[in-house]
Amino acid sequence: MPRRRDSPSGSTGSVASPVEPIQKKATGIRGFDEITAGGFPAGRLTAIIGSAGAGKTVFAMQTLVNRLKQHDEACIFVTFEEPVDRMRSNAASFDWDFGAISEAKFRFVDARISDDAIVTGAFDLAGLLAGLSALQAETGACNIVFDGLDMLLSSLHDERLERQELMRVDAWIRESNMSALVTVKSFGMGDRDQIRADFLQYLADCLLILGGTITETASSRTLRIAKYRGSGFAANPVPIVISRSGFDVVMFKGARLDYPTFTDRISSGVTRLDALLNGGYLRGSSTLISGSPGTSKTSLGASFIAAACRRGERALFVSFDESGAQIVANMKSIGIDLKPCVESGHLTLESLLSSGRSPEEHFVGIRGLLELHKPHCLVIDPISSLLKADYPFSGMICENLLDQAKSLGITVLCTSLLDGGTGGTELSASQVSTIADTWIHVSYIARDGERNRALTIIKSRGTDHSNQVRELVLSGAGIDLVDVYVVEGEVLMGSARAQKEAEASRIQVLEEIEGRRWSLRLERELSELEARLQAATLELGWKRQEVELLSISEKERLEVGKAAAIQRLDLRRSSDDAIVTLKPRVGRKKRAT
Amino acid sequence: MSHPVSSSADVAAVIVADRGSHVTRLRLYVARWTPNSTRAELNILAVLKELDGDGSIFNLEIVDVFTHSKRAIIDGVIVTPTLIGVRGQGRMTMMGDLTDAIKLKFLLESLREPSAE
Repeated sequence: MPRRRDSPSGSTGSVASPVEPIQKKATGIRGFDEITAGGFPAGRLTAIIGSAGAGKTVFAMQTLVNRLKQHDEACIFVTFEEPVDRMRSNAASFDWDFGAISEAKFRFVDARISDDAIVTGAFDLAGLLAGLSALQAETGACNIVFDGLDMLLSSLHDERLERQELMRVDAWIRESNMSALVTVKSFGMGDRDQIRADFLQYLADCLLILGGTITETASSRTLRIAKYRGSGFAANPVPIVISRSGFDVVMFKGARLDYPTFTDRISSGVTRLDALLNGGYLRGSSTLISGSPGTSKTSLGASFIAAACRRGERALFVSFDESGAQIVANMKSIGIDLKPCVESGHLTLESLLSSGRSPEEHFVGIRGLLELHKPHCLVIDPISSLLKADYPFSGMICENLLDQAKSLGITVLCTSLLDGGTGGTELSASQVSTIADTWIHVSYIARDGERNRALTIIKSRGTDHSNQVRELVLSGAGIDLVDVYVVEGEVLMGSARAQKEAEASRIQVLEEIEGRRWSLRLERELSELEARLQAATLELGWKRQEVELLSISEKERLEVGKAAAIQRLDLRRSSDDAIVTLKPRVGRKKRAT
Repeated sequence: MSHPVSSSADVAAVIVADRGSHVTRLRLYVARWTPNSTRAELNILAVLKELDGDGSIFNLEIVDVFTHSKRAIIDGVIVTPTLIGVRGQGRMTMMGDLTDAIKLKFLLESLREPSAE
């Protein structure tokens, strides 16, 4: 029947009582409070289900310790499985300073059923809960753990009774307004365990499942939030680590944060590499150096570290499977002296065994080192030790590690071995390469019976970088990069490069000689021509003079001839005049004209 | 219900009494007015009436955990009802509503045996 808005009952005028959203309490367990956006639900039941050794008890106890130490909240720890002295001893094994915790505020209740107790019918937990109410009244406790409740429930030998007692516990938790953590052993132990777990799943406000993946060679612990009433949560399983500090959830951030940004560049320790990188690595960035074994990845890392120490910065060198002393000795042989860096306290060398721990355990260890030493520069050699195929989270762990360093403003250089299975391609470190800002690849080039190292900058975000392949040369004076020769599309390195250099030098000398010879020949020819020109000029002068003289003599001769002719003519005329005196001198006139 | 039932006493006094006495002391921890506890009370009283009508062998004390909750914890009582039988150094713990009268009789008899001391 539809409700009427103008109901005469007056119910529309009533104001609903304010509904309080779910309150959460921080566990103080790293990563957990982030993935649950605040912690476990206050005043409610949180069930932790997992197999033996999954970390249920550690999680529960650490939460109580943290609540007491950080918020001064008294607590009660009810143990159904292990004796109290062993619980205390376990707690004291972590670095929680458990011995300093007041027993009055951290109360253990031994709720183990005696081995010789005889079951003579149905029973319930009213006695225990009444005792706990009294303890709560005495201590003011607001947090409680029921550790291994399944031990007690299983002795009921009745499914229905178990459910009834679980509901009794839940009701008591709500009535007493205690924030409770109930640990129960995992599924897979039998139908009964499964039924109990299913019921607990229904009953609990928050359900945490501790599990893991186990392969033939590896095991990773995980935590999964299967349920959280009234709250959003990250549903994917996340890796967890139990270390000396206790339970640690290796959290994956959903979004990248704003990291500190820098504009200054720091030296790689190799001058010519700095030049290729437009001044060096960008501070706060991450660089991946990939390559086959022996391609000088470690040396490039050491060179970077040594340069950082020379600048007076702190550096951390995390090495897998190679001892610190060995690295110092090896680097000394190529002119990189790390010993003074270690002695001055600028450099911390940390050597880890890759196979001994899971990637997440290594991550937690390295993160601890970053927090302890607060380095400016970090080298992880090689990060591929964390990229293990049989561990499901290894890729994410590497990403997390670089992310962590970046958020602390640390400049990271990590090396990576190529996997054998990739056939020498540059894809094996793809997981890291996508997040690294700079990726330098060092490869071997085998030719003419020798192997030489070639360095290429594959990418460098935000950096104008060279696209040229360089030959990396190691010597007692350190690392250097030299130009390579390209002949008919092939790159020449090593002795082929040296031979090419010598050949080029010889050809240059020959060309110089030939040039000089040609020049001399030309000079000689010029001189000859000039000499010939000079002789010709002289001869020309002479000829001209001769011509002139000839012309003069001819003129003289003509003049003389003419005069003689006139004279002869005159002589003839004078004789003619004597013979013929009456004839007019017509002919003489004509000749005169 | 003619068997004498003593009232709840201080736990320290009870332990001292346990050591000094040759009487078999029984403490039944109950959560009063819950079904299991009520059944247990009735069952133990019925068996004791049969075994020890005058109360010379067994000294039964019924402890309500709602009013003596701290004492229950000190005495290691986790569930209710729990019957603790003590004779000298001998101690026996029975959990449950004591429905099985034959089993209960047998256990109480065995607690009386000198070997239990």
